[in-house]
Formats: sequence, structure tokens, C-alpha cells
Amino acid sequence: MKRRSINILLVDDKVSNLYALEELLKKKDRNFLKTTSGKEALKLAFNNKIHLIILDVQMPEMDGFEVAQLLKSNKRTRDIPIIFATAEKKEQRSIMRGMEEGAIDYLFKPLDPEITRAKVEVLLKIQLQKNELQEKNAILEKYQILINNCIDIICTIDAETLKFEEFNNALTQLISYSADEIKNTSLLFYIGDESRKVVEEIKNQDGILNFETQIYCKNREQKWLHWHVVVKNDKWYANARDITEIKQIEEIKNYLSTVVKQSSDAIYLHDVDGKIISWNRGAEQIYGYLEAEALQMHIWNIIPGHLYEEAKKAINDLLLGESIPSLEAKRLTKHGKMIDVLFSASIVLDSNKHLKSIAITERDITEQKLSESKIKDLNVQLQNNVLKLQMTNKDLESFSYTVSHDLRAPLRAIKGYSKILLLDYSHELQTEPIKLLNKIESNAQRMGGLIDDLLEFSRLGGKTIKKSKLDLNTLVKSVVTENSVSPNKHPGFKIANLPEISADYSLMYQVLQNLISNAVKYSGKKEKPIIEIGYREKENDFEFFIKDNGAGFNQEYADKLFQVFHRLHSTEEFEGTGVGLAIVQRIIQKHGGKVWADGEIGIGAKFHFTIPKINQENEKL
Amino acid sequence: MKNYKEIILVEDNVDDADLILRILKKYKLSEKTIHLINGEEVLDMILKPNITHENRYFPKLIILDIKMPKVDGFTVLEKLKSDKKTRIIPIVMFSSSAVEDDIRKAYERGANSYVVKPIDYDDFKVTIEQIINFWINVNEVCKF
Repeated sequence: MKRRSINILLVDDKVSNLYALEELLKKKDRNFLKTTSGKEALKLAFNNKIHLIILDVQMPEMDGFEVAQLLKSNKRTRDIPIIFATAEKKEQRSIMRGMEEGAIDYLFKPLDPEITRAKVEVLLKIQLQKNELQEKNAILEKYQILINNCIDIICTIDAETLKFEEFNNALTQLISYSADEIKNTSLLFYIGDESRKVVEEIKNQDGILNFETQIYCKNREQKWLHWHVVVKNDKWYANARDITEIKQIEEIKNYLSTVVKQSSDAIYLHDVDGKIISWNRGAEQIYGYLEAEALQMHIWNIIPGHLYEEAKKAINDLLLGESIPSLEAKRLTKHGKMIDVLFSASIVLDSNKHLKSIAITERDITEQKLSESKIKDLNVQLQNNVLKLQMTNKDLESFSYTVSHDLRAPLRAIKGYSKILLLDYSHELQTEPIKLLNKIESNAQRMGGLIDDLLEFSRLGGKTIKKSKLDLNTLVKSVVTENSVSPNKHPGFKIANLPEISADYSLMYQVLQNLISNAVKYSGKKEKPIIEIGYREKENDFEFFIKDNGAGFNQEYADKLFQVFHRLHSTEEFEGTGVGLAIVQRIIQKHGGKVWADGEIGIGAKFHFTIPKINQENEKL
Repeated sequence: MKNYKEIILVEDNVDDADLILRILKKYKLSEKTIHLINGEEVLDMILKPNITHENRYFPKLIILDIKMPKVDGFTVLEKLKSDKKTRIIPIVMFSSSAVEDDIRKAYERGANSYVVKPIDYDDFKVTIEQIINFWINVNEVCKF
């Protein structure tokens, strides 16, 4: 305790008494204020911190009692101990009067030095102790308020049983149990198994303990506490802080940090001046600079010179509050390679909302851009080719059309005149000339057929197919009916129940007409011609077949069947122009399908073709 | 009305025309056939301005090719069939085209029949006969 000087006020109308008293009571830390007047004494008492007043009773003007009365009536001076110094020896009435006024003690004149000193000592001690007590109380009160208002938990716990003894409001507020519920219950009751283990282990240690536990609130909510405990006298003087949020943030931080670390995008931070302050693995991979190197660098090292202005502008925009969610830019790698990146940038603020740094995420899109430009080039090429093709097709179309049209005119004349000769002049002609004329006519006929077929074949090129839902059964039936009127034996038809397909009606008619008439034709010489029509359903298409037991063909030359004018039988055996199958192939190909044939000489032939199934989302063209 | 004994054949191709003329002659489908080689000529012949109805030239039948230089068959067909005075003349369109569109076009414009080259003689004969007979009867019945 600090040694303060003690102020003693001496009041006596005789100056000599004052000095004598001072002499008597003089001590190192004592300070004496002296006055002969009661009024003066009051003034001094009000204006100074007085620890003791020795007050002469018998004084002119104001006597000691009056002074005492006044002193006691004032709050400030009320507690100052007063020793009355009176000449009246043990006068009962005087003593009483003094006590009423709150005197503490009396000294009788002439003053006995020993008694005087002793009394002063005692009174001062009492007074000082009283002051000390008041001070301590004030401090206690202060601490009481602080502890109870503390956000953190402050408590005392029995070191052995771990029971809560005293605790502040923070504990009840945190775990929602009432003070009564908590008092004398063990800490272990509120914490989970893992935390219990921690606490059990740590229980027997001494000194200062630091550990974390979970804690369960009344509503089973879980929180995290960080404990700081001072172990003393078998007691835990504990302070616990709610770190639940901090732990959550830790988790998120760890998670984010992992994400950033393992991202294949470059994620890095730089300050306002461009100095790089963080660098992830993705950045190492993209740029080739390791983290250690990058942290010595500025962003200007990885931005190509001619883009500095653009980058500076971007930073400025960011600082002005704009965001950069996605921008294409170029960057330089360690090896001097220029790459294309897609980057996004944002400002990172510190807790005071002041600018801390700029966060950048970049994705290397060099490959992508290359592909894009390649695709563009290819598209342009494609378009050019398409245009060329279209022009060529147009030319071909008009060519074939003109050719066939102009070829047909003289053909008509040949046919016509031959016919007239045969009709009107046969009586004037002999057998031989007539035979020759017949040959002319039949050849002209054949040529007409060839021109027709050729024209048909060439027209297919430019034709756009009009797809619609086709009931194959009715279509096949009508084609079969047409081909059933055959001069030769009537073929037997075995037709399966065919599915609905998406195809061009007239073109499919042609296909079926060609294939079925072929089947009829080539099986015409057989005793019992049978033609079978069926299909197989596959995952993406239907596979149809038309099978006959006719003359068949050599499988070795199967692919030649579909070539224009290529025939595997002579015209004498079976008539035909050789364009029919080429037309079939063209048509089926236009529908996105395939044709092929199997044959065996003398046994028969089987022609297959596929038609893709209708795709609801995108029609196959 | 005069001259409805004649058939006008409008065809620019010599051989095609020749063959038709032969058939007409063989089956005696007309006493006289006039062969014109483009649309302008036939229109001139029939749509002569400033003549009276009595003096107008009316053929028994016009056999009209579609593809011709100068004025083509469709134009002739349209002109003749849209004019009240001449639409009664039967016209048989005659073409190498078997295209649906052309056939429809012809009938839309009022053609009485449509024959495709190369012609089948028997069919052609029957077609011509039937049209001529029908129209002769009509003319006799309603002298207008």
C-alpha cells in the first residue's frame, strides 16, 4: 500500500498548544494543519483531505462541539475522526455532548503524551483501515460489473470434480441453462466424448492450461470453446471464449484454400502496385513460375508490354468499384510463350473495408481459341465447298435436263417414223426389212428408257427429300399389286407387318418399285417364285430386306450392282437399264441409310436397306 | 362462223409435227391441217382485230405444243381461253413434259386435253376424235 501523507488538523485557540501538540505527534508521514479558529478549521477541513482532527473544546467564538457538529453534518467531512481536547475533566455532560456529535475520543488537558500518542495512532489506524476497506469495496464492485458483463465465460471450477462453482452470466447465456441448473454440475456433463477425453487428460496438470472443447447448449446446439485456465489451490480459475464462428471460418478457410491450391486455374493476388502476394499451383502450371519466384515478381512481368495500358485501366476500374467477371486477355509465360486467358478480377478488402489486394483468376484458353479459329476456318472452307457443290449441282442438273430433253426429241422422231413404217407400210416390205425396223424401234425404245433413267438419277442429286410418316404396309401393298400383273408366273409374296417410318413418299415408292420389280423380274424363270419382304428393328434404325428365290448373282461382284449401268446379267437374260439400283442407293443414302445385297447364283438374292428411326429432337436430313 | 373444218397444229419441231400430221391424215381426222410453228402465228390468225364475228376464223381444233419460241403454248392457251369469243375452240396441249405442274397449269388455263410426247397413236386418235365430235355437236346445237 502506498504511503500517503496523513493530514492531521489541530484546532486550539492557544497557538502554543498547537505547536506542543505538533511536536508531540510529529511523524514522518504526518502533516499538520493548525488553526486557532473554528471557522478556519472548517475551511481547512473542507478544502483538504483530513485524516484526523484534534479539536479543542473551549474556544471563543465557536467551541469545539459546534465545529464538530458542522463537520458531521457535511457529507464530505462527516467521516473524519475527531479527538476532543478538553480541559473539563471527565465532565459527564461534556462527554455525552461530544458523543452525540459523533466524536470518537476525548483527551483531557493537560494532555498526557503517551495517551495522546496512543489514541492518535489507534484512531488513525482505524480511519486508514476504514478507507482501505472502502477502496477495496469500490474495486470489488468494479470487478463484479466487469465480470458479469464479460462476453467470455469467467468461472471457477473445482479441479477434482470439475463442478462449476462460480460463473458469470456469459455461461448461462451461452448454453441457455439457468444458473441454478448449472451450479454444482460438472463441466463433463456439457461436453461431448472427444472433449471429455481432452479434459480428463488435462485435468491433473498444473499451472496454466489452454485447450478447446465442444459444449452442448440446452437445445443440443453445439458450440466450441477455447479455455484458458489458471490452476491454483485445487481450483480452476477459468476463462472460456466462444470460438464456434472462428472454427467455422477456419473450416471454410481451409476448404477455400484447398480449392484454390488444387485449382488448375491460376489464382493469385497482387497489391495495388502489381506486386504478386500469392500464387497457387494452377498459376505455377500455367505460367511456369514457381511460387517462390512469383512472389518476387510483379504482374507486369506476365503481362505483355503492349497490354500494360489495358491492364492499368482494368485495375483502375476495379478500384472505382467496377467488377471484372470475365475478360479475354493475353499473358506471357516464363518461357516467353504468349497465351490467351480468360480472367476475372475482384478487390479484396480488409476488415476496415480498406483495399487490401486484388484477386485474379485466370483460365488458359489458348487451346480453345486455336480450336475456335480452326473451326472458323473450317466453316469458311465448308461454306465455300458447299457453294461450289451447289453451283456444280445446278450445272449438272441443267446439263442433264437439257441433254435428256434435247436427246429425246430426235429419239421421238426415230421411234415415230419407225412406227409409221411398220404400221402403214408393212405390206410393202419384206420380212427382213420389217425385222430391221423392229430392231430400230426397240433400240429407240431402250434409249428412251436409258435417258429417262439417267435423267431420274441425275435429278436425285438436287432433290430435297420431304419426310413424312409413312405406313410401309400400304406402300408395299400398292407396289406389289402393280408388280403382280406379270406375264410370267405370278410370284408368291410373304410380307411381314412393317413398321411406320419417316421418309419421302415418292422416293420410297421408287425404291420399293425398283427392288420389288427386280425381285419379280429375276425370279420370273423359277417354277415357284417366292418373294419375301421383312425387317429387323435395331437401336437406331430399321433394316428392311427383299428376298427372292430367283436367278441370284455372284456375291463377289455385289458392290458393282449399285453402280450406274453396271449389270451382272445380259439384257437377253433379263431386261433392264442398270440404273435402277443406283437410283435406289442414292435415295436410301439421302435418307441416311445404307443398301447392300447378298446373292447366290441360282439360289436367289436378298437386298437390304436401312432407314434411320425418327429422332424426336432433331430430324436427320 | 367459218372454217371449222380445219385443225391447227402449232409445233416448232419438224419431226414431231410430221408425225402428228401423218396420224391426222391417216385417220382422216380433218380435211385440212394448218401447221404453224409458233404461238404468235396462231394468235394472229385467230385474234385478228377489226373483224366481225361472222368473219372470224374458227378451227375445229388446235393442237398446241408448249415449248415454242416467241410466244409459248401457255400464253396462247391463256389468251384464247380467256377471250369469250374464242374460248369455245377446243385445245389439246401437246408436250414432252409429263411434269405434274405443267399438266395442272394446262388444265387450269382451260386446256381440253393434254397429250405427252412421244404419243401413243391409238390413244391420240381416240382423244382427237372424241374432242372433235363433242365440239361439233356443241356448235350445231348452240349457234352463237
